[in-house]
Order: sequence, then C-alpha cells, then structure tokens
Amino acid sequence: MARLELRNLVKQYGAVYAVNDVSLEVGDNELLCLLGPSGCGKTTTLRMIGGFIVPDSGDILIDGASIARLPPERRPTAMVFQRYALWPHMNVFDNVGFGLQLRRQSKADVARAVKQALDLVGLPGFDKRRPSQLSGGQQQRVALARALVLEPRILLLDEPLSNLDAQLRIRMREELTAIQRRVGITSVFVTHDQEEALSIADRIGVMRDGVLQQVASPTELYARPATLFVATFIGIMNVLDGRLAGDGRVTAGPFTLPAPAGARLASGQQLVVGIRPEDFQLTGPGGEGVQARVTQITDLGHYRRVTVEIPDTKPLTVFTSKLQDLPFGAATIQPQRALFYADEQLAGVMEPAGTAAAPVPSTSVGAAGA
Amino acid sequence: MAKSWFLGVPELRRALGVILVLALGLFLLLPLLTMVVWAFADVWRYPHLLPSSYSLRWWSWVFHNGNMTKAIFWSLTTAPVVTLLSAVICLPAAYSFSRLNFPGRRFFFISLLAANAFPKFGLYISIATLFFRLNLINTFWGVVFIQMINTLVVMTWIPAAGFDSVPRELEEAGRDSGAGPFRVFWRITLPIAMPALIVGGILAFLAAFDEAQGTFIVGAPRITTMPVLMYTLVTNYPEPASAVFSILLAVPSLVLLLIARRFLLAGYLAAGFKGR
Repeated sequence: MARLELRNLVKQYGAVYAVNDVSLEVGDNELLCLLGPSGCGKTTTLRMIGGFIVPDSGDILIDGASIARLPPERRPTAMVFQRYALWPHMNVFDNVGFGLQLRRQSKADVARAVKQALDLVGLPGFDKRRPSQLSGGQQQRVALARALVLEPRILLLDEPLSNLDAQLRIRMREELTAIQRRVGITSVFVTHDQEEALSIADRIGVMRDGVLQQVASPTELYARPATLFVATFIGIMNVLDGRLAGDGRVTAGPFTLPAPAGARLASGQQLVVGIRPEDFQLTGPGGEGVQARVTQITDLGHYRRVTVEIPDTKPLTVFTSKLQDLPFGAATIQPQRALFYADEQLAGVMEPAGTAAAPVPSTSVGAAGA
Repeated sequence: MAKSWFLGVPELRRALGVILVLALGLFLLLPLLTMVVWAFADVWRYPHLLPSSYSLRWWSWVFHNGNMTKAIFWSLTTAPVVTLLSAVICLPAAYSFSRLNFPGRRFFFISLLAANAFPKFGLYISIATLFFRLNLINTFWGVVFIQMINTLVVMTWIPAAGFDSVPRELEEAGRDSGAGPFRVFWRITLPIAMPALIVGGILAFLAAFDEAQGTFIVGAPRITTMPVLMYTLVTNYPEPASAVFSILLAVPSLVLLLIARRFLLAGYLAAGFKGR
C-alpha cells in the first residue's frame, strides 16, 4: 500500500536528455506501465526510482516522503531485473532469503518467508536448486519471489518478460498480474511491447525521447491518444494530412469531415487526421462517401483486414466485421470517427453521429509544445 | 578427383586425425618421457635405445644434497610470500581496473606488460644495480621483489577479467535487497569472481616458483631457489641428477595447474548466465 510520485525528473547524459521533466503519480496497488521504443527513457526513469541512477533534478516521493537522496539499499523499492540477475553462487533459497538475512531475522522466520514467497510464485520445493539449473521462466519467478519477499512498498519491473519465448511470455504475464493483484502492491512495469502493456496495465505512460507523452488507461490511450506519436505507436492508425477549411469543415485527404465542436483550431490550420481501421464505414459502390477500390482482404478469423485504395491517397487499412459481405473492387468509404492533431497534439475528436462528443482529454501530460 | 581424395573416405579421415593427435602427443610427451627415464637410469649409453641398468641412486643423491634442502626451503618461502604480496597489491588494482573509470586507466592496464616487453636479463641487471644501492642484493626481500615482477600481469589481468565477468545487475540486485556497497562486494562480487582470483594466484605462484634468472642475479649465492640450483646441476652433474630434480620441480606446477584448470572449467565463468 503506497503511492509513488515523480516530480519533474530530469536526467541528462551530455547534451542528450534521457529523461526530460517527467512527472507522474502511481496510486495504491496500481500497475503502471512505462511504454516506449528503446532509448525513450523508460528504463532510466525506473532505475531512478530504484536508486541506481541519480536524477539531475526533480524529486521522487513515496507516500509523500522524498526518497531521491537515499541509496538503493535504503529505499522501500524492489526491482525485478530484465535478465533476472540471480546470484549464480547461491541456491534458490539463499537468493530469495538474502535480503531477509541482512535484516537479521531469525532463521525460522527467513525460512517461513522464503517458503511463502516460493509458494506464491509457484516454485515450492525449489530451495536447493542453483539458478543455472532453472529455465528462464523459473528464474523469472525466483527473481519475482526475491523482490516480493522483502515486502517492498513499490515493485519495479524492468522488461521482465522480454527474455522469455512468446508462449511463456503470455502465460507469465497473466501470472505476474495475478500475483500483483493478490499481493496488492504498487508497481511500475517497463516494457517496449504495447500488447503487453495494454493487457496488464491499469494505466500506461507512453514515453518518447525522454518525454512522457501521455498517461492514461489502455482504453483511453487507444481511443484518445494525446499526441500524434502515441496515436501511431499504439495500434494501427491511418494518418492523413488535413486542413481546416473556412466553412468549419476539415478536409482530410479525400474526405471532408465536420470539425468537432469545441476544438481549439484556427481556420486554415494544417492538421494531421488519424483514423483507426475499425472507424471506417465501408459499403458497396455508389453510397454516401468517397468512392474507392477494395484491393486486398485478409481474413483474420473474427474480423477482416481490408486494404482500400483511393487515387492520390496512401492505401488505407480498414477492419470490417466478418458478417459483412464484401467483394473486391468498387466500394464506398467514409470515416465515422477521427482524431485531429495540430502540432502533434490532439486538438479534437470527431465522434460518430449520435455519440456525445467528449472534451479533449485532460489526461494528456505537459508534453513539449503543449 | 581432387588431391585430397582421402578426406572423402570417413575411415581415412579419422585415421589421419588419430595420426595427427598422436604426433602432437609424441612431440609434447617424448621429452618428458625421456626425462622420466633419465631420472631412473643408472647406465645409458649410445647406441642403446633404453638404459642398460636402472637405479634410484640419483634420487637419494639429490635428497641427501645439502644445497637441495636449502633450495626447497627458499623456494617454499619466497614463492608463497611473493604470491601473497602480489595479491595484496594487484587485487585492489584489478578491481579498480574492472569497475572504476579513472584517467589513464587503459594506459596503466597495458603498462603492466612493460616488464615483459624487454629482454628480461637486461631488465634484471639494471634492477640489480638499483637493488645493490638499496642493500637488497643477497636478501630474502630482494628475491621476493624481483620475482614479483613476473606475477604482476597474471595477478592483475586475470582477476580483472574475473571482476569484469560479474554483471553489474548482480551487484545492483544486492543493493536492491538491502546490502551496502561493501557487503555487496563481499557476498556477491568476490565469490563470483573467486575462481579467476584463484587461477591468478596459482599462476602467480608458479611464475615465482619457476623464476630463475632474476633470482640468480639478486639472490645467489645465499638465496638459491630450486630453479637456480637446477642451473648448477645441469652444468656440473650427470643427466640423471637434473632429471630427478626436474621431476621434483615439475610436481608442484603440475598439481597446481590441474587445480587451476578445474576452477577455470567448473567455475561460474563456464556456467554462464542465461540470456547473456
């Protein structure tokens, strides 16, 4: 039970900002994912929380108390490392019990706590094994047990699943979240895998070039990406160049869309319009919309991935329901929902007719140029 | 068919391999074998392929030679002291080279080779003149210092590689679990690097134990270690005497090298880390 707060964290290497003014709060028992391409500063941020990197400026608070000046051994945080970092010269019991022995707990207490932790991660009776005798998944569990046994207030996970093969990764990630929920521990999870982040996180913080772009729930992040980077990084997004015309309409490639109410846009402004593949209406030829050609249909089981071509426009990716009967050739296409970006920032959302337009999200975090 | 047609026939290919291995084995072992035979030979004259009679005469001669016991004494006192002193000086240096980044790090690391870059004998002579001034000639410590020159490289480079092989994450995990920097070194870094330290120590011991030239220049005639005595034996006594002595000199080396090999193969160095 703990709240983690980062205030204006900055870390510079030479002239390069590894982490640039990151502020963020993680609530009680929340699992927050830091997501971003490699080199975006997510691991640096995590290592600053753990105490392995000293921030140039800014503060780190746990339940309101600053820990930024404490060395790692005195922080109430525990880290699960990317390569597990189990000590090869100790068996599983000593790996897990090391921290407890340092706290001068009685032998019986240590033994009980280690047993409990190993039971929790599903490795009962593995005490005497050496790390080299364990599979990657088992090493991962031991690393998790080693972190949890210390009852830290904040659990830090540095791409803990990236060294596992695909199938095991999915199983371990389910198990990991189950354990996290059962133990009830505030956690920060770093990953570059958006599917992983979307499937386990309560909230996701997307980073790029040291800047935190947006912190939001997976649903919100997908539906209302605050910046163009987030929009293209998460999921598939059709991106069109657009412009706000004088009549209050937006031209986006071949489409003409109504400008959303309350959008902070100036007439004649250059825009980038993002449309999710499932936000198109695709009908037979001669309908209301832009005339196009269906050039490719991939059946993906529960839905179809359709490539639609319009002259002078990049091919669009469209998802359609399996129920819809769709032939190749001429068709009509019209966006139902669109996101408008001005200067890379979300400036407005066109919601489908009949849906109340929500205001521009307030969850977007002070990214550069906001 | 190409000239190497025989490589296409599995049996011939295998036979060729066996022949090459045997040839190499003979090349390496025949001199040693000759030495062993000499050690037990009594009379062995041309053109006989083997000695005409055997005896243990030279063994008892060597063991009853007063110089011999003295040499064993000096060897077994200088070499361990050299190893210990070398460890005290070199191991902290090895750790620094591996973990700290200080100006001139590479320069100093490479400069350890300096002693090996020049002809040893010339180096020893100039050192001897220095030692003469310092009253170290013909003393125990003079011999210790001259022998240490040969140990610096192995005692620094091998342990440094050992420290290098300890991933930083293992140390960070230790800090994360609540151990301070000193305890992390003691409980995590040192045990994992230990095989390399032991190997470095063994090789340093052997370098000191087998050193003859410098010891001769600085120590003779008072401090005569086994390898120095060996020179005298080779020049002044029949072959069996030096053969017996060679075997005695080789035994510690052989045993220690076998131990070193065990550490190198069985260590965490070989066990490796998953995902590395």
